[in-house]
Amino acid sequence: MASLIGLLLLAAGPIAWVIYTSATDFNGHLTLANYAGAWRDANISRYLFNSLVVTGLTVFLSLLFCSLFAYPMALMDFKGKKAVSFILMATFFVPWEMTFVPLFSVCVKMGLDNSLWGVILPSCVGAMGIIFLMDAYKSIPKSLFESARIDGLSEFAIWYKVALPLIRPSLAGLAIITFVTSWSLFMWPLIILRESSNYTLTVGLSYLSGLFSANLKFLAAGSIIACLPSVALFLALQKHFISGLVKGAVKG
Amino acid sequence: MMSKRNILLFMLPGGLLFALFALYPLAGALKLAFYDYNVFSAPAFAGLGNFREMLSNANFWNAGKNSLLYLIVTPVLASASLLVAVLVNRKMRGINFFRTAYFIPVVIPMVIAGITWKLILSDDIGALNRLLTSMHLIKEPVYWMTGADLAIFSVMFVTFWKGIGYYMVMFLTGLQNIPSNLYESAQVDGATDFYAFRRITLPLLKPYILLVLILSSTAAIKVFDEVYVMTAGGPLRKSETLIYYMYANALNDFPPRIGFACAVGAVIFFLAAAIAVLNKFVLSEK
Repeated sequence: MASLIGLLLLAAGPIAWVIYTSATDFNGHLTLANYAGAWRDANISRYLFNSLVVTGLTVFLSLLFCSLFAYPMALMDFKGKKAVSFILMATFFVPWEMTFVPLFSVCVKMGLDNSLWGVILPSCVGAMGIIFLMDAYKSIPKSLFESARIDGLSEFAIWYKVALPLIRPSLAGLAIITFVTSWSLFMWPLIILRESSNYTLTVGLSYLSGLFSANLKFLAAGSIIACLPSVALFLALQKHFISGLVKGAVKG
Repeated sequence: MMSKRNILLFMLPGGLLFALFALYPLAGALKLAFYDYNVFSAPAFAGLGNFREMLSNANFWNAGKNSLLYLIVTPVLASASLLVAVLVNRKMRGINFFRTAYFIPVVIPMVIAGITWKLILSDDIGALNRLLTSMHLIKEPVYWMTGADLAIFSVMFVTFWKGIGYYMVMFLTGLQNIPSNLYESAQVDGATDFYAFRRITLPLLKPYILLVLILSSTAAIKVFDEVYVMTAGGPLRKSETLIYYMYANALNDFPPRIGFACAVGAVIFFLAAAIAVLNKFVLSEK
């Protein structure tokens, strides 16, 4: 029991300290002024909006494109399938930071620099999501597809009406993992977003913490605001979250 | 069966994005490793020049040394999270509360974790130094992040703090797959808890131990966010890891040295793959 509580202090202590710092003034009295200040003066509301846009669109597009891509990969035989899965597997070891300069010029050529799309599009298709969903498709009994074909459904209708509803738990798992990954993204948004009005929360807060005049209380309040969405999501969907995380790591 | 045209239609949007934003830049980066490129003039072929220069550059070796030192976090994380997993893998009222609480650091963005610990560990106003002073454990502030010897360990501690819940969950899954009758018969035979841990738990967890070692060592060799927000590689490059060194060459130096940075990236790639292979090799030998 003592060790359980000791670990609790280690895990939650720093968070509790930030919450305390954010919710008190310099005399230790409870106040919400720091939140109001961070929200208004430190532009946290703008950063939060940008983060929500980036994460929301990344999750949606990632589910759409990965579930489309994984479908024939999991269930059909075609020329070049082996080569595609080999390439997907090989990308697991790449330190993606090394590609950022060529990636930056791709984004500049497409007019995506300094835009939220420049964060969204490069992060919405990855090997992890594709392999994760391929596994889910493979666990659907073959007979269901056959009877759908006998009923004369088009291949697109089978994907949409038969396959997708059956892999819903995996889609939920992937959605949560993608949410947390995208919400935490830092280095790439730092490079591609130049104007502070386009910063996401992670970039905005690191910018704030680097300012000489940084107000600690604002920073603490901003940090709490930045943590709330993903912590709330985790608390609401714990079971999906953890099973998705473990499956993703084992398959990846 | 799907027609070829349909297969293509399903795979086209994702495939296009992956090719354009992942494979094409990767090929470009591997090519640039053999070029001199500073953004302002066209890339000039340099052969193995970047790699040769790297080998004779003291700062590269310094970063490599720091990255290898950073790998210490891997066995510490793996054993600590295994212990925590064993600790919370029991039927007890309220145990779910502890599991949930230990996991929360995992979903906090690393940058925020870094900023938080930076505030806690800062010399003069940091909460930790104030706490230790008020408990009369120290007289002078400890320079957690600005002291040349301590800085990298402070950054490592944040990696540890944020990682422990993640790997705990991996081990917990493995522990729950072990049939409980194995422990019951060991108990009947009069085995101690430690004996059962060594003879039943550890061997059956081997695939999970391997997974955790690969994941955490790959993450350790690629560490960036916590270095960037906490120490920026300082003081005196004492916490500059390989990825940070790559970043500094490409984006902090003027003129930027893109080709050289890509060559450093290629080295990190091989290092990450080699460490994963090494882990697998060592663990399947036993």
